[in-house]
Amino acid sequence: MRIQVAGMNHVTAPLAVRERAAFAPDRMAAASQALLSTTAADGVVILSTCNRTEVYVDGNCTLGEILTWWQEWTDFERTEHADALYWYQGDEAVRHLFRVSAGLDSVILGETEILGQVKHAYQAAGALGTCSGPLHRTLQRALKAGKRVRTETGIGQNALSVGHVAVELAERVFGSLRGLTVVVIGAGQVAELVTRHLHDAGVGRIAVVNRTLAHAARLAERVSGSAGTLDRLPDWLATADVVVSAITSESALITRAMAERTFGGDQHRLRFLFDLSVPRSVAPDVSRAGHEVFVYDLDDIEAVVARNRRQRVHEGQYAERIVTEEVERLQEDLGSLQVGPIIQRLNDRAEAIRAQEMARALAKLAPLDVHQHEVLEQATRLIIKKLLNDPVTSLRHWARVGDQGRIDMVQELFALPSEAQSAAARVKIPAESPR
Amino acid sequence: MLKGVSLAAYLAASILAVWALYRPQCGIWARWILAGGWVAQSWWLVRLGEQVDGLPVLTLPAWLAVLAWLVAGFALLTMAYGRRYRSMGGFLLPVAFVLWSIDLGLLSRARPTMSNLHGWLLVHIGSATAAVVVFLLAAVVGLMYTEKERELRHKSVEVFYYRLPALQEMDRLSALLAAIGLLLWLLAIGAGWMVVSSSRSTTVSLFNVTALWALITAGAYATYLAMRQFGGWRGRRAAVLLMTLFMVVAVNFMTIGRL
Repeated sequence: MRIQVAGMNHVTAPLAVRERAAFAPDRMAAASQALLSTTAADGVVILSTCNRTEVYVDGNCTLGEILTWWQEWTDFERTEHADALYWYQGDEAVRHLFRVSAGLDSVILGETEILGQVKHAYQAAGALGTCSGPLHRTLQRALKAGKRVRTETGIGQNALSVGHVAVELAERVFGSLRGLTVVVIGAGQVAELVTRHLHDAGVGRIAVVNRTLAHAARLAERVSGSAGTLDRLPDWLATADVVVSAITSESALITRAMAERTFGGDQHRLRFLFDLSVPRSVAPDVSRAGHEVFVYDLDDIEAVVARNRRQRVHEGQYAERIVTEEVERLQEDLGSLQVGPIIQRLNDRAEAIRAQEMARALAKLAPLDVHQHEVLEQATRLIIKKLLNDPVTSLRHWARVGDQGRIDMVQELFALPSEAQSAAARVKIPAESPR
Repeated sequence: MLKGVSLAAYLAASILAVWALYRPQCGIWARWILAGGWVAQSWWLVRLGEQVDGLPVLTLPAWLAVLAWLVAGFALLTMAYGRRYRSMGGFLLPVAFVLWSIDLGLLSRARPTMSNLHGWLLVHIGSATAAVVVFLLAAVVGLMYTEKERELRHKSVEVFYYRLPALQEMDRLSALLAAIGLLLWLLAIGAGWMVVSSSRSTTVSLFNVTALWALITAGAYATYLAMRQFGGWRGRRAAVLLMTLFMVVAVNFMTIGRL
């Protein structure tokens, strides 16, 4: 396999280096064409995102040539930034691309955005005509691997930020958030972030309660909610399924006594209270104010985040297996692509010999009827097929493992003509008709 | 042979379905193995039906076999199609396996009884069997609820948090199942009353222990539903009550029903 990748990502290079090595979108087309015209590369795909810049090249092009070209088209300094680079060839390059598509090489394990970015890079190269046949197949398979990882594993599931975890917990308790009433206490940055997540998740009613009504009203307006002040907090709490408290307060705003008074009428109702304040604004014993009251503070939510992260890492093992499977499948595809013409020539040669010998034998025999002729045809074809079965299987295997020496040997052994000669010979073979 | 195959398949599928709570990828194997076992048990039931010339439900062992078959079938359905309830198989299959293994012990000592089901007797046994299955499902959903709720309450999300549906969803589903089960149960009681009242036998009374226990069961489920509707009962307590109520049903069938 002649595919190679040279690149840098968030692990190998800091942002200051990555931004210098990134290709400007408007220069990408010209840069790709330049690489193809100045080197022996048959195809090139540039993947340039905020976390990585990678150049996938197909063809007999050296790393030095790629780096020189890269330096010409960006502010990248090959001598200065050599440590930030990685370079993979053949199967390693393919595996790397598949891992990237699957989100296994991302800052946030399993993130989905990268798959779209790989697809975009592939489409851009396709539109420019810089994507060679092997690169087409490789990119298509990489996208397939990425999709499989997302559908067959849970690597992209489970939130990794406090705001998203709050939404996730609410969903895992209540299911649909549409019919819920959420009371957000506070109107600061954290409150705003969580409120936005809840709104995006489809929460039915959001009420923002704050010391200053104007601030609450401003945030409430953004999510089409209602606003109120802290002096009527118990009234707001009485209607709430979910409470998010993100407000600075020296003592607990929601105490057990207040919660008991508020929730007392409906002891069995599910209520979830998220306390994102430091110091805490919801007393921990509020969870005892009803049978189904849950109180999660920042530490508890961080613990869920950590667990979710472990869960993603665990799913990553299955994702790696899928990547390996897809790499093997691609090797098979590319192998057949490489030896396909050789197998065709081998079959053509055998068929030519068979047809010649059949004609010679038929000339010596008394005229045969259609059925006898057909039987003879089938028998000789079967002999050829069986004889060639093992060599063809071996050819496919050698192509898969990249054993070019043996593939050449087969061509020599059977004295196979070149592709052009074979095509010409195929035209010359006369169509046989039963005598 | 068929009994052994299905029992072994149910055991293997149970282990894999429980394991699938931790490693969802095992669920595919559990599904296929369960499908094999279920087909084997179905075939065995067909043969038993041929022997008794009808539905094989007139003796406790035969009825238990049908019950295990229904539970396993439902587990197969949820594992194959119930996206959010796929993990339910991990709870249902061990029940099916236990029922089937107890039953195999009972079957070895039982003799087939010719089936003569028709009219109200058929409705009585059919609806009672369906009610028991639905009550069992309600109890299983209740168990799933308590497990997930326990993880959330202890703030140690591990398995059930990720694999089971939302608490509120399970709470509503278990109540719905209890309501359906109660309707079927009342139908079974009504049909049973029709069977007895139309019987010419003097040895069968309308007021026996079985009938009394059936009424107690109906009353208990009705009370549960009333508590939900009017007392606001939800969540963990309601789930635990459902599991306890199923024990009432189980006692009815395993002991009093045989008196």
